[in-house]
Amino acid sequence: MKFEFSISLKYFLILIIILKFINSSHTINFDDEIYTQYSPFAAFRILDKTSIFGTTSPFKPSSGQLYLVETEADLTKLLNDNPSHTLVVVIDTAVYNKDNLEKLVDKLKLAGIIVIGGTIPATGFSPEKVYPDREADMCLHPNSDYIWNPYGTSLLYERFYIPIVYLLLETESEKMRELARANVESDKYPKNGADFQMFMEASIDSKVCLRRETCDPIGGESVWGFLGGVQNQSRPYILLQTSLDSRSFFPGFSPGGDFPSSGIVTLIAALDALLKFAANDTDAFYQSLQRDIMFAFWESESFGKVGSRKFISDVLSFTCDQWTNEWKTQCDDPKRSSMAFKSVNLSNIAFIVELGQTGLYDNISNYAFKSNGYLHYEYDNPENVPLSDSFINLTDFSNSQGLNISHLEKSDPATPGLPPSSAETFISLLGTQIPAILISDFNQNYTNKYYSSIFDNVQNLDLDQLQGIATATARIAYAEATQTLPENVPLEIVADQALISQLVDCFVGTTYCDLFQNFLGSISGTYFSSNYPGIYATDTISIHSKFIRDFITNSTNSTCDPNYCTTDEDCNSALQVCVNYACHSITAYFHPAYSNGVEYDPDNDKFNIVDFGLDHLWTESRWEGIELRSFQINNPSINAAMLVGGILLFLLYYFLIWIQKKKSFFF
Amino acid sequence: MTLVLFFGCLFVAFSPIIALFIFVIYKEAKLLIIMLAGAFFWLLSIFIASILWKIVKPLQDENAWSIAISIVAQEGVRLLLYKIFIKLEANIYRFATKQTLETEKSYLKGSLACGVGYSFAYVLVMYGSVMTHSTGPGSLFTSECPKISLFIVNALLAHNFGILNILWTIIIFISFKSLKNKKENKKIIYIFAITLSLASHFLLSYLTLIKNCKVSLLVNYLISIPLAIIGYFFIKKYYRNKKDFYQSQINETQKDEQTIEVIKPQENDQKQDLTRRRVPNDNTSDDEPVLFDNDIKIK
Repeated sequence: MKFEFSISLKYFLILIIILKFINSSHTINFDDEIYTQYSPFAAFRILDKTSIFGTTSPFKPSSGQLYLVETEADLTKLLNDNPSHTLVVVIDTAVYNKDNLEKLVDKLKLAGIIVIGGTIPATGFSPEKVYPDREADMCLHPNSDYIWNPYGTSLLYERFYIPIVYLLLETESEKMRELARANVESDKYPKNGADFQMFMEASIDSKVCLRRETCDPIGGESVWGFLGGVQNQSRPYILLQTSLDSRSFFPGFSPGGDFPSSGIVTLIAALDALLKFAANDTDAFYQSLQRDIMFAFWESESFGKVGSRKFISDVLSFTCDQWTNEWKTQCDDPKRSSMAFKSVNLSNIAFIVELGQTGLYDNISNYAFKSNGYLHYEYDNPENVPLSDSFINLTDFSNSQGLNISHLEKSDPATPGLPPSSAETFISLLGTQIPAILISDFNQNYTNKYYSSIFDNVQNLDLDQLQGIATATARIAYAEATQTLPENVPLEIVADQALISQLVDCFVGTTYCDLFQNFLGSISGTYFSSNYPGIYATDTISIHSKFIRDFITNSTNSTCDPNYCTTDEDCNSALQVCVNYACHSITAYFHPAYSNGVEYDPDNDKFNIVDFGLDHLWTESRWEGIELRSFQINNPSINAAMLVGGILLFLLYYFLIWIQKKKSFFF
Repeated sequence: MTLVLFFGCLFVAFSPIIALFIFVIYKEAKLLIIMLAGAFFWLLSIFIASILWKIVKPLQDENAWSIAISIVAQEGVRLLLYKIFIKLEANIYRFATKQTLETEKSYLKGSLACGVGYSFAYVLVMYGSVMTHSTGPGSLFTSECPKISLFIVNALLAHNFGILNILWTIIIFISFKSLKNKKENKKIIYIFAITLSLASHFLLSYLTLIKNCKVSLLVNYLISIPLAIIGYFFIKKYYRNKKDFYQSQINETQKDEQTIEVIKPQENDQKQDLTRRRVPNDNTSDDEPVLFDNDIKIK
């Protein structure tokens, strides 16, 4: 019996090996033959405290015939024809705007919309509101009807129950265009079609979806620190800040050229200029400071200003439930990678300089200069006027020295005051009249015609303009920190244009740029740089945040421990971080940026709502996957004929067998 | 709409198999088992063909060689199936006292079940995997066949080969059986039938290589339809001959019985003995020598 068993087992194993051998041979994947997969950027669903925005597909994938709309005439024809069958409209970016999307959705039977092409609409297009964040609780002018963003359409705050996606890759975009064009040019089958699968699980609002665990809070890590890593708590400091994020209708692709990348680039370049100057004689530089210089890149400011808000609330009232170590330098619950923020004294802020949209060169009003900037501030704070005057004096003097520095002017008094900015959070939350000046490239309204859109790309930026603003910021910071006269500000404090060029390439172009590669090693993830923060995760840090921290740490003449490291945890001390495989003394810190209304519960790995009263609770829906496929559609009449023919064939065979039985055939 | 195509293709490809299964095979448990055996043997044939295809590298580059090796494997295994089937039939009827029209019917039904099983496995494996993809919204079109969906082309071909596989199995089974019959004087017809079956299998398979799918389909059907009609009449003729033969046997037996009754109407036991003794001699058709061997042994 044993022998038989072993024999049969042997043959069984041989059979399995043979089968495996055969299976490993060529296999035809019919799905690959039938369907062409694309990698779209989807307008996925985003939720706030009371509503939902963005798009979703039905639970069951929706499909339809492709139809190409390249011009307004095409759109009019389509709307007039109003075909009865389900369509997937392929719309060129030239005619992509809120009105046209709404017309398509309202009047046609649609399975989805695919936005293709790289044509930038000359008339301008911004999916943001005309006054961004006016309804937010931090807004200093909630009743103002001023139009900051004249191209605003509020598309970001619309909801659609059909999927809308953007094909960025030119190869994919052109292929889709050709397929759709073929449908328009010929009435014959097979037609080209597409289907979507991007069902968004979250519904109703953030509170409901967080409870149902179908969404996650939007957020990331802000980066902040003091120049040189030193701070004398007893003396005032200057806060240089900017936003680290933006959004678009297709959040995954938010190039954020003029906003926020221009601000990020100019602030990094300004800090770099100061640090390079400081590196000449570090001790003398820091001893000369009468005021410290704090810098901050606030994350998720486009979503309820949660970056600056979280930082302020933590500085004022953070309590740690579970410390990571006995020295209390880190906290596990709630997670804080550094407790350095507790040493920040917010009442010592001398003034805030915020860099907003700074990348567009205004060649109309001040064509004599290569770079122009406008100073925005609150009129009810009398300290802002002399402060802005001193900025202007400094830059005027620097211009007379032949430096490429921005020519600064005060903004038009017709504006209500500070435009939407992180400075509003400080003024609102701290309840004190902190002087705050926002430097921007616009005077009255946004000159950026593509604010918060997919078109706000690198073409929108002017390198001379950026260098001028960065140099101005660095020199202002130096003059104000050392309390020196404009003529005493060293000529060496000039922003590096080569660095600015590289930074623009990285922040607005691709993450696979040289600078990021040098600092972060091999980059994994999306090729295109996006400023959308994504969902907050305690163990994930965005490429942008990580780069900024590492770059500033590396630029600071900090003690370098040659110990080989790959992560911060490899360094011996909590006061060291790993940059370029070496441990450096920490000079820039991460700080979580997510809504104060939620808190992470590490035991259950979920976010719980801790404050239902807050109005800044932005979340991103969960989904199984985002898929777009194109394929050929068979003639429905032929499909129906096949079914009828098949049934008739079956009946025919039945009849023939029945006759044979009647005739006493052998069965 | 895509489920419409799926069910359409399903009915077209499987309609002869489903109809025969429901109305003939499902009625008898024995036929069900034979059908499953037929399906298994077709899988065995394709298993052998795949091993050969994998081992012999040149086969992988040329479709023509792959088809050839696959047909040889299928026909070889069909022969093996015949050998096993004839043994199975012999065992089922080993207690039968004589070869009758019923045993002939059983043989034909068994052949049909083998054919349906063979055909079912063929259609399921060769077309089932393609057909499952027709449930999606997309259809498959090739550069050679840009207007007709590959699902439809394959369904029509599967239908065609499905019927032909059933007919080939029955024809080959009855032809081999007839060739074994020493008294069969029209062996040339059966040799021709086997040759035609094999040749048509090769011919029709190679016709699928025609790049223009419309021409391929048309030629396939133009050849298959007459072949199927000829095959049907061939089987019908065979069955009619057998039927007539056994009818005449019955008539003769009845005559003999009347004669015996006239000679010794009162000796029932002897009459039975006589009748029984005559059976082997009366069954002059040596169609089933194995069967008769068994019968004699039992006695």
